[in-house]
Amino acid sequence: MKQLTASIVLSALKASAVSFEAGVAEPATSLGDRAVPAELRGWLARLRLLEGVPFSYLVADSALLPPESIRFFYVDRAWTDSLVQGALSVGTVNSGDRTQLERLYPAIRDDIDVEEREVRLPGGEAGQKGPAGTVTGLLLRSAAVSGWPGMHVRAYRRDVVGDEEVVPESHPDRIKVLRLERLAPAVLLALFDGVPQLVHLEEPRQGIQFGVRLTQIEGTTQYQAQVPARNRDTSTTVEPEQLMRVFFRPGAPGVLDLGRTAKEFRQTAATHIGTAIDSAEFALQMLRFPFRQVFGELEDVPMDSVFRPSIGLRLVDLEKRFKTQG
Amino acid sequence: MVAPGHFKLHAAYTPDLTAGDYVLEGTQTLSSGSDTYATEQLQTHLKVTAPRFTLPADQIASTFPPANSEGAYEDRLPQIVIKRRTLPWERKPEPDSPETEPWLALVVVAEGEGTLSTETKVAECVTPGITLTGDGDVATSVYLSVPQSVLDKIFPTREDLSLLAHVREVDLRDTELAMGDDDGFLSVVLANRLPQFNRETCTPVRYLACLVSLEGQAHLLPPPPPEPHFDFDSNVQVVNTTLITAIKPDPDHAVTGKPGVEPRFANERSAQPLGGAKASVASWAVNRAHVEGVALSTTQSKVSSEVRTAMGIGFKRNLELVIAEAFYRFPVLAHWSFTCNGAGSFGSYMQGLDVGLLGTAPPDPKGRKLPPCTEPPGGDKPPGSPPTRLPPELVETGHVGLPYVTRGGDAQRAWYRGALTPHVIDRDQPDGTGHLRFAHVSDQLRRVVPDGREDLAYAAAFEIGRLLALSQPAVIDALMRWRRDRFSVERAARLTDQVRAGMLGLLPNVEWLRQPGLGDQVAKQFVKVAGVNPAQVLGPSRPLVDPARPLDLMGRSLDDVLARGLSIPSTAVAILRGSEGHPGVDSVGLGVLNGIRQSQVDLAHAADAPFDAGALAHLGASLTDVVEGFVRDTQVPARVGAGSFDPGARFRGGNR
Repeated sequence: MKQLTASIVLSALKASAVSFEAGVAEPATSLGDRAVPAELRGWLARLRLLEGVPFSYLVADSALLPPESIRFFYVDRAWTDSLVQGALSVGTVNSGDRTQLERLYPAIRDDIDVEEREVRLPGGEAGQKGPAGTVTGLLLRSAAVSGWPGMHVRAYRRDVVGDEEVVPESHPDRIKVLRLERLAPAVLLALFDGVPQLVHLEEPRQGIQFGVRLTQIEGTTQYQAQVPARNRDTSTTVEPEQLMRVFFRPGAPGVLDLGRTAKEFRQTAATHIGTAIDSAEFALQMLRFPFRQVFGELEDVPMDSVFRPSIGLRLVDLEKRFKTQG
Repeated sequence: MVAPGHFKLHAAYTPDLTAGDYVLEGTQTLSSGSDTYATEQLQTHLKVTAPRFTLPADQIASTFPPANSEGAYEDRLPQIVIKRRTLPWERKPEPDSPETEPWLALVVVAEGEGTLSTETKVAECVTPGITLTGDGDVATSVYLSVPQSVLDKIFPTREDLSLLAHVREVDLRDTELAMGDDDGFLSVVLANRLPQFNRETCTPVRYLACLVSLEGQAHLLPPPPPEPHFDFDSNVQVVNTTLITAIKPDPDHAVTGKPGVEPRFANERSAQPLGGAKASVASWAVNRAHVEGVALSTTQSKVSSEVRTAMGIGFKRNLELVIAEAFYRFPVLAHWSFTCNGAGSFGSYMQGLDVGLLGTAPPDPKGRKLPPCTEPPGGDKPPGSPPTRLPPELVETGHVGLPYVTRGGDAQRAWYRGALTPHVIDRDQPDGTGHLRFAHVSDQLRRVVPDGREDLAYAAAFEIGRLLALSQPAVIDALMRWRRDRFSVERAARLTDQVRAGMLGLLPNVEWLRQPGLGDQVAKQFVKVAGVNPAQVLGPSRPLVDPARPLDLMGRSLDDVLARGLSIPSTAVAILRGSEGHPGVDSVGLGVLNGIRQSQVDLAHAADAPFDAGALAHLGASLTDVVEGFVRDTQVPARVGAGSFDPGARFRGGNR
């Protein structure tokens, strides 16, 4: 009876090594200069962007996000790093694994920093490069989210783009959106790759719409409507804005008296319509462009509390604050 | 050509030939010199066809509001965009109409203002007394039936018609505007009504938008209103909706008195007035869900017609039974329904938002004016109830005090802060050696702040990450594979580098040791080698049966015990067992003892174990314990004490 000897093991190893050489030809999935395999990289990057994290762990108390409110925030990188560390801890079994993981972790972190910018690249636009910076974002809880699915959210570093223009995401002054998702029918989460000066929320552009500006007469159930005059020849809104009244038919809410409305359009000199109005000229006056709300440090926007410069807090600072609080 | 994102508006595109029958006459004059020759006159009959009672679904480029949608549309005019640019001018509403007067109008009716018919012969799709000459495109269609008062109030006037249809020219590359059109010219028909919702009760109102044909019936349209009105009252009802409550939704039922086919969505809502003060929220929600359900459940070939039918639900009540007025029928080429639920425009919502950084104290609910109808209607919350919960415990850093049960079971409060903070938080930076703080368990991230409470923010984050990873087998698998294929291969490669010098002859190429999958390959190879002769490589195989402990027969013969237990003669036992005197059985090796005898097992020798006084004392004590427990459990101490053999006694005491 032969014992299991080292020579048997070695000969088996040698045989397998010889036969394995043939298999080397097919390229093993190389990581290149990345530290984390691709399938894991994507998942960890999405985890970084808080995908799948229960909402109550993001906003701990519902009073922090009351109805009809918008809240801006910074993303705590230490928090998301802890999240990733927790996920990585699943793969470790013994202290050897842990030591290896700990040594590799700086490379893993840098790798996910790169990857998290590639999670959302709309329209084939190039991703942003460079070291990971501050991630900010906003939470919007409003009936506007449920009423206007597909709302546009844009963030800008500087107000160089004028109020009416839309610049591509690759514009240097435009901040990349890392994540834009409706977490609930009326809650919208957006994450930005940087600290924006301006945030635009814009009504979705579902084709071209026609309509009026509706205003309620204070204290009644009566409504009035107006449309701003547009110059027929240049198709631009008349400056300064000139509002034209819209007429209604009695007895039915919302039914327009088109004859009188058209006459009003015609009689407004700034429209340059002349003596007869046709359907194209009428449609031009009734065109409604999407509404855009601008948040940022601009005049007449009550936004003084948003994105004011603030001091970073570390645990040391926390201690001080808690101490002074008593 | 227009630039992307731009479009041009044209008043009308009138076709050179409107729909109808034509005769093409051709005459030819042949002459040679002064002779002329008679030729036959050519008469070719030509028919120009155009949609008349039904608009093919592929002709609709888009509708606004989107079909079956729900939203704040009260300052927008509904519209339908048709791919065929000439369609609104391909027929004449009246014989004397000017070329630019369209024969189509988009009419928007609320629930209870009109009846949408079922499929009817096209001859009956127009108001009785009016006949349309010429061919129809289809045999049956649907019509909208409205009483005189509704016709007067909501239908466009004759003068309005030509203002409501125009042509839009867009760039084909602009997918958003062109929507798959072939030439970039689209005809647009606007409605003349801003859909409203019930502002008194914040109830959404469902509307049906119908593209109706006015061919031959344009003279029925109302005259322009005599007085100018700058405003409208949103609470006025076009039709007294309380009248309509009596009608069952199924017209068959109302007409015949017998229940017809019960609609699938039928519920208690038919007992409630529609659009009135008590209209139930459920009705529009049910209808909407019903249309979605139909869209998902029907087969591909039927889906468009079934969805079309489902959209008309809620508009099937036969108003003619309760409204004593003249009724007019208009053929409906296309229809869709939508719900107006808004409480304001996008702009008013945006202006009303409470703006702040996350973690700031919530605004005082009393001091804040929410836009009307922001709260979902029909909630079970009593109005004006005082706040029942305490305000959250907030500090400036964004931390929230939350109740926390420790592992010991103590109820405490701990600080928590989610990933979203009102301040920039410094991220860990690697130290001089490139080393980063790394936690292996969540407890490493628990912190105690000077007020004595724990800050569990990062520990909670760690646990969420761990649980999210654990919840997905694919992620666990990827993590394990990563460790196996990368870490262990790397380790093997480093090891190999160290012993490389001594093993050069054995391992000709070392580079492949870094390949993932080598470990698996080696293991497979080893199993192959070992499998050729397992006895040589791995040692003898184990006997199939383990030898039992020696049986304590208490002085009796084994044959007797077996015979008594099995209730068979003792000679039969002797034969089976293979004892002396029955060599025939013994020689084939039957029986328990033969089996035991034939198996070769290495047994440990008692002499190998150290056997000293201590071991003996321990053994004695254990034995005493076992025996005492045995005696207690069996509850028959006398019999055990008397030394009688009772095989059942061992097991009676339970699982000791």
